[in-house]
Amino acid sequence: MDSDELTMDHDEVVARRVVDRYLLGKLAPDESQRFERHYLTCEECLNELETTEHLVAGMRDAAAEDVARVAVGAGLAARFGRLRWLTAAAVAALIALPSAYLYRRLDTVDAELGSARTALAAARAPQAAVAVLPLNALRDGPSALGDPAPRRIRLGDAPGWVVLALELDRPVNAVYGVTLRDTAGAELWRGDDLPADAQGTVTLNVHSSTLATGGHTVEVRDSDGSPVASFRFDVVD
Amino acid sequence: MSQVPASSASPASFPSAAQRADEAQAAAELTQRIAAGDTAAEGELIKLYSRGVLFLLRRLTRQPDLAEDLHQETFRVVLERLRGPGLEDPRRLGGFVHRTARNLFLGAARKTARRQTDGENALPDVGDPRPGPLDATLRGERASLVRRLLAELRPERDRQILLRYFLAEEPKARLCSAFELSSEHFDRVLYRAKKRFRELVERSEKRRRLAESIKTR
Repeated sequence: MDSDELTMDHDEVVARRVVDRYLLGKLAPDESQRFERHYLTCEECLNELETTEHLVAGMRDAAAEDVARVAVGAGLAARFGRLRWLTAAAVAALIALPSAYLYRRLDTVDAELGSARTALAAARAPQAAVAVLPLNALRDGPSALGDPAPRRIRLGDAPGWVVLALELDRPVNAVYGVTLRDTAGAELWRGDDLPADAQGTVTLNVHSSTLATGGHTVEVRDSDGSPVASFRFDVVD
Repeated sequence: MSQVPASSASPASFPSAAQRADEAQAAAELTQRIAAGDTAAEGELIKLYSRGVLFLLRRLTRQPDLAEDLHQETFRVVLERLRGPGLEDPRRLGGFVHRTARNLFLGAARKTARRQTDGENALPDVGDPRPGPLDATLRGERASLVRRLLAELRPERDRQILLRYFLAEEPKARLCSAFELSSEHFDRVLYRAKKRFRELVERSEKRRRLAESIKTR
């Protein structure tokens, strides 16, 4: 069967929460199309798709309404006044994402909006001399040559970004889960559905404030949670 | 131009996905009946695929009017093909319908892009995407149903899960870990929330229909 004719089993859809991931745009393109071919004639999936789509849209609308209400109170509406409605809607939608946390604390929204804007402006500013750290996977078992010494990186005084390039030996998936741990094994950061590029490298931007002096490990797992590769690097003073 | 039978609001369904061989067989029979000039079979095809194709096109285009147009066009193209040369493998009817809808969407998107780069005198291909009064009302109703759902959810943890999963788009694994939930328990929380939301939507639609029928009396 041609790849563009493949479809998805309903059991797979249920087990992997495909409806939610499709609507949140978290499926790889080929998975999306397999699911689309499935739901064309699956009444159960279409019911769930419509309900979930309404639910998510309703949550975004409600959050945007709350943020807009607070923004009006804070005089932010005047600042948005010259923007076209579309831009304003996009801003509202962006603000609506962190508002999952703000939902019950609307009185603090204005202050948090200010911080978010500052952080956003800083993140958008061009950054020079960004550290790029290509990492090779550790071997599974004992090797005659042993694992190479961990790569070392020295962080500057000013906060900044470090790019970790995780080079997978045998890339098999379109997306991976990644966990960053410190020397003691404590989880510093975890991400899911991170894409690998055509060469099988998963690139991760880590802010220097996440890292501390000492050893770090990065674990990469596939969509089922099975380990795929591990990486090590040291942060030195 | 070929006539396209009107679509129905109550779609038929193939058997369960586990019976894929049956689905392929049903698709092959449907295409053969259409090729033989059976107009009832054409209606069945539209009932079978109409809702799914419309959902797909609405999602791709984000414009209900354009989606409706492409939905009609999809069935025009599909039926013309089935009445004429037919499919190389009639069991792949579903794949053909899907491909046709997607290709028509891509064609419309390219056309829009071309017109936008054809100079100042070019007319925009799409209508004003701003929400109209009806759309704004519906969105307001939808938001109030969500507020009601969130207010009803117990324990508080369930509300947090819903917001963090769908709004902040935090991954399931992280939320399971944060709330010390098993994967199955997490799924049950979402299932219950969606079920309750569907009930609220259905009740609201029933009320709206009742109000409209009173208004038209």
